[in-house]
Amino acid sequence: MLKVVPLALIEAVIAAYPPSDPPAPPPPTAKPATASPGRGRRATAGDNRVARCRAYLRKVGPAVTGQEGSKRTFQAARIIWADFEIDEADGYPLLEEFNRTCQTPWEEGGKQGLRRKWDEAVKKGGERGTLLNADREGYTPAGTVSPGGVAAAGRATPPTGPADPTAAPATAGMPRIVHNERQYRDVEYDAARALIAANDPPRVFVGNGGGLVGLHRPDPAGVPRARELDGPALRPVFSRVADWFRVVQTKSETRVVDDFPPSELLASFPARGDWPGVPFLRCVVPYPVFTPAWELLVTSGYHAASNLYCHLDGLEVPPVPDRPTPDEVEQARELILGDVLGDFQFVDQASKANAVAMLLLPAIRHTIDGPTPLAVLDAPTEGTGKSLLAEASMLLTLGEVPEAMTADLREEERDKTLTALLIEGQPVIFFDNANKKLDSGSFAQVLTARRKRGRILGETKTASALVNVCWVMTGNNFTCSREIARRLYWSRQDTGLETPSERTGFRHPELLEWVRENRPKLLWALLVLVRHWRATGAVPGAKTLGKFERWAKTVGGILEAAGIPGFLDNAAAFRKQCADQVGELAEFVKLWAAQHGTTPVISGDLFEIAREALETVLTAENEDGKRKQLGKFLRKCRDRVVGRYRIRAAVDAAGEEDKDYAGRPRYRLEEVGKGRAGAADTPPGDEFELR
Amino acid sequence: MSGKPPGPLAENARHFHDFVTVLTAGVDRYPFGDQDVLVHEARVLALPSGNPKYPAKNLIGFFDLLQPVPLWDAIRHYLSLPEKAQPEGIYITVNPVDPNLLAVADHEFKAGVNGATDADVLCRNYFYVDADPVKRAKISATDAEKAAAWELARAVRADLTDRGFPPPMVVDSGNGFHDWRRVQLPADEGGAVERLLKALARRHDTARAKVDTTVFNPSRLCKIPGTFARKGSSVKTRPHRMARVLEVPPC
Repeated sequence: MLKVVPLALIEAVIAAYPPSDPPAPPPPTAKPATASPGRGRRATAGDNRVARCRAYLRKVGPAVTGQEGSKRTFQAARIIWADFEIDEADGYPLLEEFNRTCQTPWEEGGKQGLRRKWDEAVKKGGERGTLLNADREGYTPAGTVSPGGVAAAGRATPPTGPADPTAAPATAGMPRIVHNERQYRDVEYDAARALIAANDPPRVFVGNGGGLVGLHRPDPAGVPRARELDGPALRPVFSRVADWFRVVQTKSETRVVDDFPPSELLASFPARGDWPGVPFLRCVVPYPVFTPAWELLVTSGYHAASNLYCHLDGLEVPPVPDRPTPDEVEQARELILGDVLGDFQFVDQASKANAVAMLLLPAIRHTIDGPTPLAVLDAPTEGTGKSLLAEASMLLTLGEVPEAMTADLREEERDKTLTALLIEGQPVIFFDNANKKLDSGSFAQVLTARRKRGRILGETKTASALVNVCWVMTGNNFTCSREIARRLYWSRQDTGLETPSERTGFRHPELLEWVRENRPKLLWALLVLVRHWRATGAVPGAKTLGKFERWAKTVGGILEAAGIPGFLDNAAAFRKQCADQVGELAEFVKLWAAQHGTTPVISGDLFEIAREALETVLTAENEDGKRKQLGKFLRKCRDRVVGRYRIRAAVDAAGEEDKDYAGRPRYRLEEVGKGRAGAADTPPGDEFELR
Repeated sequence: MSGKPPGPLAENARHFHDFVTVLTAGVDRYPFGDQDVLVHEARVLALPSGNPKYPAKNLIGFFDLLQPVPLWDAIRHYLSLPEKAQPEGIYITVNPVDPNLLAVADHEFKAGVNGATDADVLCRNYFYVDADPVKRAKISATDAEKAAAWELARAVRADLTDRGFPPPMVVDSGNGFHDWRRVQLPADEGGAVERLLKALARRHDTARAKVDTTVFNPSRLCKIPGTFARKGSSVKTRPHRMARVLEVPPC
């Protein structure tokens, strides 16, 4: 048996021998047409703001005596203090630097001195930091282009320029791009550079679906969602990162005038397909979350190493210790098992443990490199509390309950909706009230897939999205196909009451309200359980689930370390429940073989035994419907092996499908097992022995 | 096998056995009906039709490696044919596939059926680093070319060992060498194997031998040790050779 190569070793080799030509922004094929202040550099709002401001001031140009030099110096002070939000310690020396470039520098003190100009600039107050992030919220008012007001007059009346389009009006602040009389590739190059330079901290990303996305908040108090930046949505983005101009030629002159970002760019830029320098956004998480490297993200903002955008919105989770004490672990257990889950009537310990697994998953989802199964919350009747549990779990992690999807959607519609939600980067996808049997090949496939390709709602094109969500579904007496039964973990509640909604005596009668109020504490409890597992050696759990091994080992390990037994103990029982139909098929084939042997028969010949054996298949109300269902069922079971037999479509002597006079297909049973030769007929000496 | 005189295919059987033992040891098995199985696709490539008017055929079958006798029986059948009637090679998927594919060709080789795709692969248990000599396609390698591939395989092995990789299973594929590595990854592992092969190629490729960077996909086939690589015609300098398991690290 070979020893397993850890993924980290593979990644180390990959990192050791990187490609010699890393992807880079496309070089301009012609001389760049504009001379943008920020061009070729990536702006950051941190340590380099002084350098950025210095460069900006160079573009503003020195104050000249007799040409409103006093006003220009005051504006420079405003740029430093207000627009770049630099305080006096760093800001005043910058102003002194600027002053040294002026024609006739100002004195330090006095009524017209440099110090007084600084003080007045500070005294004026107003919004600060407007130039730190060009992709800021809101618009610059019309007619006042420069945030510092340096060249407002220049924008109000577009200046006349020479024929060379590079001679755009000398406004300050943002890159200036002339978009006509040039090659498109150059315009796109300038636009991309302006976008990347202004994208710090990032607000524009490459999303899950591979397209450009921005963050938007459908609900002002809710969690931001990734929204694809198609043509019209890109216009405000480009407007905020650059000033746009167009060259107008008349008989007598050539002028450069203000304009909008060109439609051609808005249409073509999203279709470009790759945007070097634009960060990838895996998911927007509104809670502290562990990164793939098991680092706990507790600050808001984009985290480049994990490609996660953490949106905590003032949420302050108590510090989570690296090595929780036994008391802290016990406290965390009590909060989860007692307070959150204490009022739910789980049928067994496995259901309770699986519910804890569901609560834990969002916090560790991104540490699991692979798919995670569907959490199914099941109950015999409505009002038992399964939806409440689902909502409480999502409220706990997400801070809100996302829109529930109807589980009983048509296959095509579900597929499109899922694709849309995955592209949005939702952390949890919630299906409520699966009251019909869930039997969907495409859904089963997406549960185990790392990427999902599907049609985009309202369009004819397809998109591929990363599957890194947590799946939650509720249902009454949930049933599903065998393939889905292998892709879920099951938590069942049963109060034993006819009207469970009339129960009283809860520990937290208003559970959702209580969860909302105590969310930081409850998140702390979940994170403590995870940290406890890490601190005790991160021993993988003993249970496993095919295709979800990583999830099972991680979540099982956390639960075992926390002393919560029963995880996945009910998996076999659930599969058996779902496999009842398989048992019916076996019984049906047994009766078929006894009655007809291997003789070809039509479905009508089998109707009587089917009515007896296939109770869950023949569910139509009348006999005609049942006969049709049997015909369809047999077609579906063609070539399936059941026990000693395989169900075959019969063929006639000519090798054609055998049908009766009315065109109804015949089926027959075929004995299987002949293909498996044993070792008995192996000649001596060269046989292969099983050891 | 002890106590019986060695037969004509005993050596083939030994290599096949060693290979299957490694492939099935310590890996997850998958429920199918009332038993656990580990199904791989096997493929007979370019089986001569016997009539020059008709092209050679590819045959596909699905076999449970936990019960390897039917696969060996089928392989033995092809190995027992006259040399001219033997296929170009007999291959197997590196990783297990969906057991439901047994319904396509259940422990038998069939013509005209579709093989497993990447979507049918359940997980990645193994990948291999394939050191191939630089030579004309569709012919066997000379001894000198094969020696160059061996040098490359050895350099890659030494590099990976230095970096903490556990020892691999070394397979002589007939014209090159495969270092088999055990992993526990999902079928779609995000391209790590592809990137690894490309990284190794960047570092170790020589003018005479190269790391094959195309063998990364999860449903990749490889030659079954104990069978022959019969590319082109067998000539003195470029003979057909048997694939063999050269080294299996101790448990």
